[in-house]
Amino acid sequence: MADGDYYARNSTPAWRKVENTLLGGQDFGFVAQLATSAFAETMRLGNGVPGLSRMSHALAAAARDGQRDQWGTMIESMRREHHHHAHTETIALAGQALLENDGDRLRNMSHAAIAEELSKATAERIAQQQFSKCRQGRSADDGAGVGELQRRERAAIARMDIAGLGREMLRAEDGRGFRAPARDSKPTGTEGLLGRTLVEPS
Amino acid sequence: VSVGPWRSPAGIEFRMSAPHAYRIDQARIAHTFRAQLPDRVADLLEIAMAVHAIDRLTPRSLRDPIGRGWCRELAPVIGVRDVDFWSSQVTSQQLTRLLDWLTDDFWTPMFSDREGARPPEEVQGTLFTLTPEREAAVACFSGGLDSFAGAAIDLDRSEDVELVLMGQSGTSRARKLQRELAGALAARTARVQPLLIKANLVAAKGQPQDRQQRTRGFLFLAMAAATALVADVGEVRMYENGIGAINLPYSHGQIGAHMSRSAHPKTLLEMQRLVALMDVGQLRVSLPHMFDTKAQMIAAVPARFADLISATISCDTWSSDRQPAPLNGARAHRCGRCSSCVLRRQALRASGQREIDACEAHRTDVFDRAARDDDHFALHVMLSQVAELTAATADDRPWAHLINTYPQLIEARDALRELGEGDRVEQRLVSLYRSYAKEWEGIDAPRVDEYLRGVHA
Repeated sequence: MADGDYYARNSTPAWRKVENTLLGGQDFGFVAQLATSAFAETMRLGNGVPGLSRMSHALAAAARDGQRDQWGTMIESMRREHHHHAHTETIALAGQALLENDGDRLRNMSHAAIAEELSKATAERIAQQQFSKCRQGRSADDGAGVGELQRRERAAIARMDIAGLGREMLRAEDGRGFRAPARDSKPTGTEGLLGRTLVEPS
Repeated sequence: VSVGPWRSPAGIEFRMSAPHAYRIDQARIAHTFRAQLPDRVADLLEIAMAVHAIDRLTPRSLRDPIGRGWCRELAPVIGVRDVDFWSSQVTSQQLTRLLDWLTDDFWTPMFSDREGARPPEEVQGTLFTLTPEREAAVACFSGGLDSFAGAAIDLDRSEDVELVLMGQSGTSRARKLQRELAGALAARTARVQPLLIKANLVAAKGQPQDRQQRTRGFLFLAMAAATALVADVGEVRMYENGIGAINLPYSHGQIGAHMSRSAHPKTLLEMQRLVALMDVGQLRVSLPHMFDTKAQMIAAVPARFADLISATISCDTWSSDRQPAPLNGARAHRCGRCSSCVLRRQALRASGQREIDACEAHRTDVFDRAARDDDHFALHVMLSQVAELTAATADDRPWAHLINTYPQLIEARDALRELGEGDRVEQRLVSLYRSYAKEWEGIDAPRVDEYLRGVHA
């Protein structure tokens, strides 16, 4: 029953910039830099990733002792506790996929390492969600098909410092003080319209 | 009797009741089977209708780019006959779990004694009942293509089974469609019992309403469950194709209940659990076509019913379409742009019923390049999903790839296992999505080519 499906079509200005560069076929490194800044803005605006630490504890227990029922219960209670916050939902999705596909690998990892894995997977999914929101219903300027657009999106995400964003998510779970990882860029020596020196990805 | 809504410090608290805020024709269930409505069954109907009314009359705030206005805090106070049962921790937790899952809201339902006189169908006993004498099932009948195809297939496969086609709607347009279709099926086989129940809000015109209406599925299921319990039938069949039932997000920007979960296996499972707690009879809720695509369902419709396919309507917007139809009938019923219209057209073409698709009028032909770009939104996002499903199902480890792309499938798989679909659920789901993606590749339409393969391909 596909009635009344909802598509969030309102992005922040930072993500709209990412959208235009992605659909315009710009360099992936440049798109990734803009996306990293936009990601940090999303974290600050959206109160971070509520429930990340508690869910990483539950994920560690589920991976180590196979307590999948408790993990399921934790997902339900976190969703409710955080009023179905989009990022809490995303932690749940990332955790479920990790547990299902990488359960054996996670079993021998420390809790801290599992928390890092979960935050990294969550960061990647949040980036993917925002990119999808950017391009949903829109075609590329050069007429590329949807498959090609997805490839470009993945290439841009691969150039983002997802691990760095994940670590920052753990540090700033409530979103306050969330910082984007340092840009991997160098000055070009050219002055822009606003008198600033332009940078390009190194 | 007090009628809400008003805002309380704990969120939005509602007190509303029939007939001031909504109407539900529950007497029809009792009259059809000459049976009495048990208290808890009548309560279930009342709760479902009250919840639906509240859901519709509380619009979500959708302006925030982070989506913080999506979840609402809803604390309805609902008048029921068996307050102790509904207020008990186990029952109230189960109901909250189901509503939270369906709507992504923070529900805190509370119960009080129902006011007003009890209707005759609850207090008057009957001399004899008219419940089905042979093997029977209640089928959810919306008048859409899936519900029609499922009923036609079941009626053809088994000569013994009797179907109670339970239709529910608040609009006369939808009821007319359901009546005509159910009537046509009944005319061709004596094993169909149509039961159309009216349920609508009172004086809601002009009030701001929530467009998503995520509790519509709960109301539909509650009515089907009540019908099955009153008719003493042990099964409710939800005829929905597997793609529509799980309803994976078309865009990864869709989170939680952004996609309707009305026919999701987990919804059915939670509903089954709620009914089990009511202790008024055994009930099984099934999805007979869970592992079929819509095209496969159409292809399986027996020849003696095939001419009725074009009478069904799948469009999301047609029953609430307020545009006056011109006198010459030039304005088509079907919008052609919504995902339901697009999926119907895809399924008709993929199942070899291209001539039906060609005869059906749509206000927009999204398969054609001439339509405006805005009109292609649903087609575009659907094809984005198809591209991902194609890549995932072509992988060496298709299930691992699928759940990495769509972890939502894990909850669906677990629910299907609990609903008794066996251990091969993963393989069957992979096969379902592979077939669906392949069907799209075979659709010969300029826009589909352009989106799937690019302009220069």
